[in-house]
Amino acid sequence: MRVPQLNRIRGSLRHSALVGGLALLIAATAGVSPAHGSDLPDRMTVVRARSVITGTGDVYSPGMIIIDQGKIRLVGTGLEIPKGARVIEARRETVMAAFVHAQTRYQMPTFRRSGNLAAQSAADEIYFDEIEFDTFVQNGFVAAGYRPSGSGIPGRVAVVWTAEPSIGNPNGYLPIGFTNPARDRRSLSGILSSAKKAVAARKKAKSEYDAKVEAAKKKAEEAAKKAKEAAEKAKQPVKKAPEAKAPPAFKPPPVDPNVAVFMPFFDDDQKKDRPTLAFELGRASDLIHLDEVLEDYEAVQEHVVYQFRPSRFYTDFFQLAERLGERKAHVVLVPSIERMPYSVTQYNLASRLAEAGCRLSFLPRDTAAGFEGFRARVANLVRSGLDRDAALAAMTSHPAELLGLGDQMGTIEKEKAANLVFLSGDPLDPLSEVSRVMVSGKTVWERDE
Amino acid sequence: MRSMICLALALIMAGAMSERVDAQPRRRGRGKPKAEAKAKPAEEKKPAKEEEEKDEDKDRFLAVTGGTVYLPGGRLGSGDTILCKNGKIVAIGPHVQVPDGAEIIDASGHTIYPGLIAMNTRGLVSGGTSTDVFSLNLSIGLTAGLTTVVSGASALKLTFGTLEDHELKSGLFETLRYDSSNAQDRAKLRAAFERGRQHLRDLEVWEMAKKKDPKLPKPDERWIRGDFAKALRLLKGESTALARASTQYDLRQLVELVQAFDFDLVIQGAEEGYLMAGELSRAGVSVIVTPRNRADRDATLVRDNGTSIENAKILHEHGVPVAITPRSTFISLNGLAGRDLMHLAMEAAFAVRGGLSQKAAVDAITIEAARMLGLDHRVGSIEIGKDADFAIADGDLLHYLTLMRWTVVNGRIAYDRQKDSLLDHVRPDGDEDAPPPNDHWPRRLGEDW
Repeated sequence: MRVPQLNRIRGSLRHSALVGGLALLIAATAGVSPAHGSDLPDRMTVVRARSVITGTGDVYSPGMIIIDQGKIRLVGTGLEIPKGARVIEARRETVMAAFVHAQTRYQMPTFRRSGNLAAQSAADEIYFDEIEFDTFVQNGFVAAGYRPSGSGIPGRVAVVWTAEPSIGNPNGYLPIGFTNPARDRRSLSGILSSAKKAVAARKKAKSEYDAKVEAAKKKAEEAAKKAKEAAEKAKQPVKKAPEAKAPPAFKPPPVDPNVAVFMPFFDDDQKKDRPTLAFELGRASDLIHLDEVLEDYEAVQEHVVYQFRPSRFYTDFFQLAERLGERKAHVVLVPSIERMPYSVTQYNLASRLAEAGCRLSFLPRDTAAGFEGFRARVANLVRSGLDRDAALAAMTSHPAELLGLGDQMGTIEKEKAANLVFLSGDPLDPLSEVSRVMVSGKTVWERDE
Repeated sequence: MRSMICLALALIMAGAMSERVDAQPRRRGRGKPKAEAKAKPAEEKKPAKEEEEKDEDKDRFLAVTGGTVYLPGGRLGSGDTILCKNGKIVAIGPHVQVPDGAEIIDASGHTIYPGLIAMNTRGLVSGGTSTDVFSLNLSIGLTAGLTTVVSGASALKLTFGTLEDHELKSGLFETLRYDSSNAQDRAKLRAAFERGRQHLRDLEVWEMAKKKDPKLPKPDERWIRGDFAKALRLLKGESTALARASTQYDLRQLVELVQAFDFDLVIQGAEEGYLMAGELSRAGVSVIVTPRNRADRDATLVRDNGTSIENAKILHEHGVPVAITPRSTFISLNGLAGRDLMHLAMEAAFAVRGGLSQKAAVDAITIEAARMLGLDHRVGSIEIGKDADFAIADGDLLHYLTLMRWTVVNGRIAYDRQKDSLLDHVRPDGDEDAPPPNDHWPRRLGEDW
């Protein structure tokens, strides 16, 4: 006698086995096929765009970029697509190097601090959970320099990657406030002279230590020699001389760590550790005072960047255009049309500086709206006479240089990381939007249509 | 015999007219002025210097040609050229050779005065270490022909755009409060002077006694502080005193103090000085007057009192060195009521109204002021070796329609009326339809910005 339930059960088991087997197969293949939105690291990627703005002076329309293992291999027009390469069709889009935010405190609280805290870093203040890094990425900013809060010398800027939030370099450049010459001249020259003295003291201590070591060595050698001679005379085997005690390791004299940051300027062996100093100026005259202080410190002069932070609604920085142009200075400023002193006459400071020969870096305002409106503000400056290439460089390569990322990114060149931003139109057209952001060849954000 | 006398007289006069301002004593009949010989070494040095790479080593030349020079002594040398090298006057004369690359000011139709000195100012400079060298007040001061100002206790120059040679001297005067308001303070000051004088005597005695007994202790110096230190410095002749006094009574008190203790004194105000000019002169004090400070005679008093427009004239006639300062210490009244620093020359013109000679009036705002400050080796007149500070006016300095066309400080053009738009509303020819000059700054930019 057949039991109908058993048959059913057996049937459903077989059915479920089939289903289970199919599910496993699908899961297996799912593991192999690429997930939505990310590329396999070993495949080459080719980007085909309506226009590629390299930042080095070349613009390819249409353009192609070949990316391999996160680095740009080739840029040009009509390049051969390698076999097996994944092609990203951006036929109606413009591709340029991703933007860099040179100095921000987005979504970080402000608190007062003053004095010389050069050894600190903003990295200590950043809590990644509290900051919406998506705002950066959605507007094309792939790296940001977080500034520690405070005035004076609040500490080193932390270079942060915004796509997969992490700290790239906790010791970026050093902002130094110089808006009050009466006070800041004294403190700056005090710090620099202390650093110089500390280097001299350390060198002296080292040479004394070395002399001591030499003397101890000589003494040990002579003792050994005497022992040998004595042994020979007495016709006895040479007694092994007791091992000379190694002198204690060299202890450099203690230095305030905030002053120690400036010591590499006076020590040629530490050239690599010399930080970039970003002096924040309030008015044109502050530069004249700063120049007087730095007159005696030539090593410092090569690592100086200027930031314009006017506290009044008019500025007189146009007075400095020639001076700064002659030294090809790097100037960080907000992209806005300035007003002349005691008047409502407007002038384009950025174009004057760029024409004179300065390198510029533009800072967006630290709000979501500020990030979104950044390109439009830069476009306004270009419309009023700023050179287009200078403007684009001020959003990409110069801020990257400032954050120490100049070798890795900032332009679309061979061997640089493929940090790209895709825009639906010309980057300086306020109507164009960011459609895709790529970091090291990997798309980290894409606009959903 | 008579013809010989006439010939001799003619020769003397010829010699007098050909006199040039230089260190050489008068040489009658010598054709070439010494100025030419001085210009040549400067020229020979220049080609050698041009081989140097650094720009700082190149000599900086300025030549002011074609104008009428206000020479020391009040003479006007027409057709003289002033040659300045690195901010100092090196040659004055009709045949001065101007080296290549020199900046040339064609001052034909203009009169070149030494830069004016303002004895009491506020708001133009801030003690040197924090002066805003691009500030509006500084520019307005240059518009008025000021080149040296006394701010607080230091003398500074209005060096627009640079801090080079900005400070001249600090610690100019010791202020004395010695007026009728507080008899106790006066007694204390007199006591301080007495103690100081006693101390100097004790020192002399000790010097002499030391020869016999070397172990003799030095007279105690721990009490030398504050007013005592001030009095001692004045007695030793190390500094000059400055006191305010208006009434005869106060002036007489000061004169008695000076006659008792014999120190250098400058009196500011001296409104009733004309009533005791002889006493002031015999005491050897200098005065800084403001001719437009007027107060009516108080009829209730029997004695002479009140101000007089002839104050400056009478003091000068009695041999009292007179300097002139306007009533207000500010420049930013923008000419309100004409009592501020913009009208220093007008203040001097009022003294001329009172009978002072034109030469003494111009001297009062140039060389006499420099002498009182102890800076007459650097500023105050146009002589070889002094700083190249000029106020190049388009007419007689003491005329109300005269404006400065150029102001030169330390051999650099710090103000050029053609380029600065501050006084554009003034049309000296009365031509309201004349177009404003093109290249304006800092307030207007013209068509191309």
